[in-house]
Amino acid sequence: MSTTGWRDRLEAQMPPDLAEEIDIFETQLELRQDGRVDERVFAETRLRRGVYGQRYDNGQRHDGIEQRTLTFPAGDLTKGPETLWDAPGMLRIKVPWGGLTPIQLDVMAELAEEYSDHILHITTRQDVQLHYVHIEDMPTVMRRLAAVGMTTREACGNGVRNLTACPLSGVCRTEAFDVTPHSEALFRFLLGHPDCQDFGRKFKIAFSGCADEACGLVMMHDLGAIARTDMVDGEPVHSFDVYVGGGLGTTPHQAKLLADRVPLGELLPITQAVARVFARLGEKLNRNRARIKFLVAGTGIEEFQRLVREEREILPYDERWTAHLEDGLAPEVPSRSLDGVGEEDGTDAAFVTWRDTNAYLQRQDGYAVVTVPLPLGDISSHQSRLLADIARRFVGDTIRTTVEQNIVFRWVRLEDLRDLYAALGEIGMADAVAETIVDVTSCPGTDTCKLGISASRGLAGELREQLGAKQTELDEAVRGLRIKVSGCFNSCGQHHVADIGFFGNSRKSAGRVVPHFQVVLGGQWQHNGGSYGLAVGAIPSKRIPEVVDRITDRFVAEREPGETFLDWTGRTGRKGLAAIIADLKAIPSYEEEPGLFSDWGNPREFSIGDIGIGECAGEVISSTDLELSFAESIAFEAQVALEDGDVAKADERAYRAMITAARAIVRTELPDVPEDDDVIVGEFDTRFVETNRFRDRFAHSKFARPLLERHASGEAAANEEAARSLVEEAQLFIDAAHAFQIREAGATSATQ
Amino acid sequence: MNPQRIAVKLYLEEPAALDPEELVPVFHRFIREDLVTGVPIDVARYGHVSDGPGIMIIGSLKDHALDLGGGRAGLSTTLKRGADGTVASRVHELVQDVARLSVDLQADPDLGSRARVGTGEILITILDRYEAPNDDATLLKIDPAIREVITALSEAGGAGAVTVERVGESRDPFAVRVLVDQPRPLIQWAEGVEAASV
Repeated sequence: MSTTGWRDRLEAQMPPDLAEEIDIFETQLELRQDGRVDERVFAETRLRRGVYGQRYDNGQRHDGIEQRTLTFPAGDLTKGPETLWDAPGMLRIKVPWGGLTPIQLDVMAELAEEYSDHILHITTRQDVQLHYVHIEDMPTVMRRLAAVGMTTREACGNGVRNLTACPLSGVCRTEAFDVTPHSEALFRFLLGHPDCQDFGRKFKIAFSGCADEACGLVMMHDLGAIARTDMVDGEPVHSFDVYVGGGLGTTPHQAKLLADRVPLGELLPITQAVARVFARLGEKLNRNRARIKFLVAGTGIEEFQRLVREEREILPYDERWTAHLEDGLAPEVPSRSLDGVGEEDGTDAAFVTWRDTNAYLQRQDGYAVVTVPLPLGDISSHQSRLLADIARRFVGDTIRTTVEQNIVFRWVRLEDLRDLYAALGEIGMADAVAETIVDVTSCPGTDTCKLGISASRGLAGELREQLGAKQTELDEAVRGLRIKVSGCFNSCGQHHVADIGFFGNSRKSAGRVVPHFQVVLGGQWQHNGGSYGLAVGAIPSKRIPEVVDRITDRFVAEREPGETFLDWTGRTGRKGLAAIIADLKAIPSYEEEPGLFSDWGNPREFSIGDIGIGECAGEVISSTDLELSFAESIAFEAQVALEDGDVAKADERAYRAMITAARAIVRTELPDVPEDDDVIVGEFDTRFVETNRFRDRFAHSKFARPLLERHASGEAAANEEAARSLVEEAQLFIDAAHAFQIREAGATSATQ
Repeated sequence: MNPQRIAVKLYLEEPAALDPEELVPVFHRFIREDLVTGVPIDVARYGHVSDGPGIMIIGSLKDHALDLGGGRAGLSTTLKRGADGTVASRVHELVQDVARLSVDLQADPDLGSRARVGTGEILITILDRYEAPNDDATLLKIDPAIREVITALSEAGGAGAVTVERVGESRDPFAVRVLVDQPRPLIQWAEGVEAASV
């Protein structure tokens, strides 16, 4: 009841395009339950809406002694390959450039409470994730998000993921200019863009305001833009240096310069051109080689530049490329002073410590950015509501998430810092750990991820606790180091760019499996993640705290005046670093040290039997398959309308279903076909009907005729009988489109 | 009113005596030994989040937790899906679940009787803002169901005088606190809960 209730209640508040998207998804759910959508197609459909699988969703779990089957109520029904319907899953909510408002925080808190586990989890790419959500609750959750301007669209799957940006954009002391409006424009432009629907893998974009700081970590992204300002004839000219082909994972690549000094108005089209080249030439079959970094490495950057230039030249003009340069985003409104005690009050040592670690002086006089650290990126529903209240009181709508899994408040008046500190302290969120070694970053790992090997969150929590206990005793050079943990080689914890990084793996010993972490040292956080660390050896998970102690102790003992950790690791070298921890690799027998055979925070004896099939990229489903699937959803809505006696709606939906299917077919040859019914039908007729390519061997052109006639007449069905006829013909048309696609694929393969 | 998501919570008598992390191996064992209902899947650890859900057994139909919400540690069971029967019967089933969980934890040898649970206060929360916003109208609608459960429990367990009050702000999920004048020891109360019929 609540499902339709929320839809009706929120109808006026949801952007129409998002509302329709969600309606289609809801219909797809029903069709999948009826077995009318293939599980692979449905999996990609849900992934492209941010709906992910979670660990144990294949119905298997190792309880520490034996493998057990989880008996879910819906039985064998699946929502993807080896992914059971009733197994709770994750929903990833996009937070473009990390920007949040208090009302959005409120709504996500409600959703976490009602559908998830009372926790909002901030990811290393500024998204928010809800875990343990049932698939049937997803449409309602999406609607409630859409009503406050949030979307999950393309948060997973083979598309453009959340677009990240430096949380200091606009207030940073070293940036060239504020990248926020450009990030927002690119995010809106690419969301659902037809040129981004046929990727072989995901595509991540980041923005930075400057080259030297960590900023947006552009160098590890598929595509990144770094702001620059040059003086030309005495005038400042803004532009972007655009990088392409970076990425982490098992084979990390640093991004390469695609083009420097790209004018602001060229950023969107050049990105679109990159997307089209990637869609056309990127690997589709082997997902392990399908990220754009492999394409760029394969062609070489010069050839890739040429391909992009060539593509850019033939792009049809789009007025959205430059619209944002005129409109822009409304500037953030600096908060008014609350007449606080004043930040100059230095009598409270705890406050001073917090201010020194958690507050950053803005470029604008009299203001600071304050970091609210979230342990392991987690915040409860109740805390979220209280934090939203504090934001309303001190800074208004200027909240941002960070890639270090924290939240920042911008535009805090310096005289209000002390009151803000007190307010955060009251809700347990004033730990003085921001940008210190204590503030460990981690991906979900084995807690919820299907691919996790080791307990990254368990380790991160342990390190946080141990380092936090001795934080004040740590050498200054150690306090500022960063630790990042990934549960496997896929690098979601971004361990490659940490001073001290770890990624999960395992080793076998005397017939048992021991959880391990590979130690990666000397990654560069600065310069946009400018270089990656050295792997120096895999160590049993339970000994990692000892690794941290040894490495930091040795660094303090051996560092030369002014020497950074990065420099020290470079000077010491892989061999020297490995030697420091070499003896920790030895695995004793189970009888000698049974604790080594389980992981942090998880007393079950370690097993890798719970690792499932990753959904990180999803299956490669063509955009034609997806669009035909959407057409089926719309046709289904037409049938429902007919059953409800709504003739007008049945007619409209049936016609729209045929248009959608026709567009899918036309797009196989004309990717840029506009959303114009006349053009779609015209192109379909010319290319496929008149040429007899859509002609069925037995039915001839019968299946295409209803679309052509309905479009030509422009007249809706006059009565229920006519509507019923059109609804049936719409379904036949879609079936014929599928058959056409199969015929064409056969013809193509026969000629190869 | 047909709310699907309902939670029932009892409070620990001495929360400081128990480190939430101690529950992690116990809950894993409970899953292994099939001691909890609701298709249990895994243990989730949120002890690091103050005012959070604590240590949870996540299930397909029900969650069970050492719940740190509201700044007070307690044991809770949450019905998430698959609800049938009346609202009263759902609440009663959850009270039975949390009573069993409490008895099992209180007797667990690994916890050394440190998980002592009081029966004088029960928090009932409806996690459905559409069906049950936190206002007096919802209280009017839900009150008969709550009374039906309380009556059944009183008859079976001899709980004494009872007061029911709505708690929280309008933006919070709807919740009522049930306070019992003469609370019984857990074991005795749990037996009554088990025997009561709604």
